[in-house]
Amino acid sequence: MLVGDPAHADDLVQDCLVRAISNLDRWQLGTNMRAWLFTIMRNVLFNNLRRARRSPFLDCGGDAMDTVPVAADQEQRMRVLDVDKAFTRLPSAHKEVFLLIAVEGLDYEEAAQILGVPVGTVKSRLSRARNDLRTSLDKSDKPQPQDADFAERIRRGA
Amino acid sequence: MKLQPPITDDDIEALLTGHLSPARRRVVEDALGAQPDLRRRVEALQADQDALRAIAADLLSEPIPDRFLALLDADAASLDRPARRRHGT
Repeated sequence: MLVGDPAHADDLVQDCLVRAISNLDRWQLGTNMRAWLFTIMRNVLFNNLRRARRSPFLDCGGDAMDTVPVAADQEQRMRVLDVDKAFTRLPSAHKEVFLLIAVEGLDYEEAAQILGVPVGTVKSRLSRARNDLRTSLDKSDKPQPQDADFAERIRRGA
Repeated sequence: MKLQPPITDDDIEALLTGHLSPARRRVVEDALGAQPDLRRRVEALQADQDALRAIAADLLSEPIPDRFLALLDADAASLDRPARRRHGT
């Protein structure tokens, strides 16, 4: 959901595992291990990006998810795909805040610490992410204008 | 006529992430009942969040690749040795 192609995501997880295991003695008992792991993941991700200069995050056009959850009906499945597609177009800074808080359930303070930004920034990014996602989906929910017909009429000089 | 309590963006956010106190939640739900536009918007935001949570949950249910398990096994073995080997980085 964050990096786009599954192979790249697997590499990222592997790098995180290696680093987390070798630094396990630095993790403090009583602190949030998930937050600690997210911090490692983010560092690994940015180090990789700096090194490889690969196109970051979900810029690939296709459906990131081949295996969308088995939805009760086709309509719901399509909805999930639409949301996924719209989500991939959000700026990465907004995506990561959304994933940490709205999906993973971390609180503002934990997310702010992982991302190294003030809590206020986290809140405004989350709000932007939700609103931009909704705006984009509202747009695609509306019936599309008949572009093909229109172009045809222009061609015929109508 | 009863005044509508003002519902803030923070209320909506707390409702979506389940951090609203029960008392405030009742106030917000009353407001949503009285304002269909606001209710539709909150339902749409909730549905977006549910969809992304479903995708994330689906990812987590994928089998763990063998190479990850091999990593963990290798580390467990290294812990048994007296001098703990440190991986790179």
